[in-house]
Amino acid sequence: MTRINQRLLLWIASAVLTITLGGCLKDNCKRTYTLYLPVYRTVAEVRAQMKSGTPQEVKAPGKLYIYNNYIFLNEQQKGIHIIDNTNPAAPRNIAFINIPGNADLAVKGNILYADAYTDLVAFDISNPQAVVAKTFVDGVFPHRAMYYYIRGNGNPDSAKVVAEWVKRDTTVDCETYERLYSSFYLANAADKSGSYASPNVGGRGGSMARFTLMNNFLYTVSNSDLNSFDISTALSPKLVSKKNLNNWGIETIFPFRDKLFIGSTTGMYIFNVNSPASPEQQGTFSHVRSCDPVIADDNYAYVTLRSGTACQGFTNQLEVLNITNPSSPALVKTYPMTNPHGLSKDNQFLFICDGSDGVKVYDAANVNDLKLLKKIDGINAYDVIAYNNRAIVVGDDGLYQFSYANVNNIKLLSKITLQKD
Amino acid sequence: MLKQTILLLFIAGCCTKAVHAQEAAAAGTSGKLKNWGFNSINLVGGAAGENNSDFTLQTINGVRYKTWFLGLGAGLDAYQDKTYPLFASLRKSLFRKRNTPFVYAGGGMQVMGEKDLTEKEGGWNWHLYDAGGYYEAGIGYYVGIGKKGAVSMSVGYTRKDYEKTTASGVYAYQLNRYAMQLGYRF
Repeated sequence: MTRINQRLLLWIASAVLTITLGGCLKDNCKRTYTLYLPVYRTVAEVRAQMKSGTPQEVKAPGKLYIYNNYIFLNEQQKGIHIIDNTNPAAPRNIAFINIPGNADLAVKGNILYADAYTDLVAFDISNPQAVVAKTFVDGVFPHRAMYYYIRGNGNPDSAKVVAEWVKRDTTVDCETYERLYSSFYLANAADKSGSYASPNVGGRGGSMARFTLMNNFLYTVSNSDLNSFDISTALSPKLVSKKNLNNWGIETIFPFRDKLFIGSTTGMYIFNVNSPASPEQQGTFSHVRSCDPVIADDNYAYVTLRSGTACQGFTNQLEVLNITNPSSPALVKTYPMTNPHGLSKDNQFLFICDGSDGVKVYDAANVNDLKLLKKIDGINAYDVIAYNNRAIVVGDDGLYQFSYANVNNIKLLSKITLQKD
Repeated sequence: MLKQTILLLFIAGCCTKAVHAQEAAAAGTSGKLKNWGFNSINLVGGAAGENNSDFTLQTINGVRYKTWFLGLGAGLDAYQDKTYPLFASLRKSLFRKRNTPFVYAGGGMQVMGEKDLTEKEGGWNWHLYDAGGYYEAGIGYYVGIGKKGAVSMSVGYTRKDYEKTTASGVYAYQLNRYAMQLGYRF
């Protein structure tokens, strides 16, 4: 055998060995993920702790409600921050109400209404630093099923509910994860922003609220129902009607005059409250599938449609609807947006949280020709409440307050920075 | 950055060829190796690991002194998620002859060849890459061809590290493979 043939044979043998031995080497793969482990307490224990305590850092803000000089800011699934906003340039976080499973809230007089998983809780907030839970209405939000089903027999001392979640970063071998954990823990895994994979949190306040108050009624929406609570006796809310909207994508509710505007993933509903205990559907407007908070004024409804993880769809725009005839809302015009979330209107000024594109302020005096007056960059904004020349904006890094007394010179008054884990 | 590096290595390879032409002219036809010189080694090959196998490309350019060679390399590693290794390479020939066995080792960094997908672009399927280290070692054989060139044949071990962050966690990969390469040194 010549030397060349020997080398060729050696090379071929090496090639065969390399290919056949490839499987002998093992890849090393570690998977690091975040678990949120539930801490259980009895219903009685949980309810006993539903009161205000020392202020806590804002970490994962949800919906907010403005009442007098106070901002009530939901901490997702944990409770409500009370912020004294007497001086908007220096808001003070004065207390935290511990409410496991809380997502929505509304305030009337000295009473704060909040959900705690499936229950509605009425708090006496006459002293914001000594808030106490007064009334519990059991099981009125069955779509918040965790609490509802675990309670089962209704005896508060016999069942346990999730009172808090403990974050734990875990690293395991990838194969081990696939084999042992994936099917069990996936539902509890957090995404990169710390939100649960399947939280029942529809929005972040303002135009994205699921609770609203009108006269002596508290109206709430679940994924499919419109609930009416009689709160004429403020500390004894009574569920008086539940309307199924035949739609599993209900998201938000917004009151204006004698109408309720309900946003869903497939369209907007208008209900009149001529009979407040039993609102009647007056009109609808359908749109492509997407998330859609809605607000309204006398003649127009403003609907933002956005795409994204839970919203599906590919549409990002503002729709202006003529609601002069509420029975037949008509599209006036659409405006392209980046990824619009919450919105708010004060006089002719329309504020839109456009995701990573910041907050946009429009002159909406002529809905056929919205004029962009100002774009506030640097905020990944979710929701905004604009009133009395002040805009309160929830962003992914903090709670901002702006003054738009001079809309050509919008000024940042203050920012409460989020505490990151 | 990567393109600039590859361009520099390509230029280095051209310079090496030019230097060799001068060396060859000076050395006449004897083919005797000088103590030092520039070399460019260009390799194609494959990497075979636990789950699959894929091709690799490398160009290494550097300085030879007697039986030692030290160079800088750039390449393409298509195994699992595509990366571009940038590494230092050390080779030691066992004999100071044109036909000789050699051993090699190298290490460095990588540039990811896969695109990140933001949450806005990919929804639940978003992912971000973070390239890590690159390492290799093995044995081979030079077969002299022509006056200065040599065919390089080698087998060895190669490893590449990187992280992939997704909605469901961070995956830290250390991919261990057998490597087989064939190329030409000039």
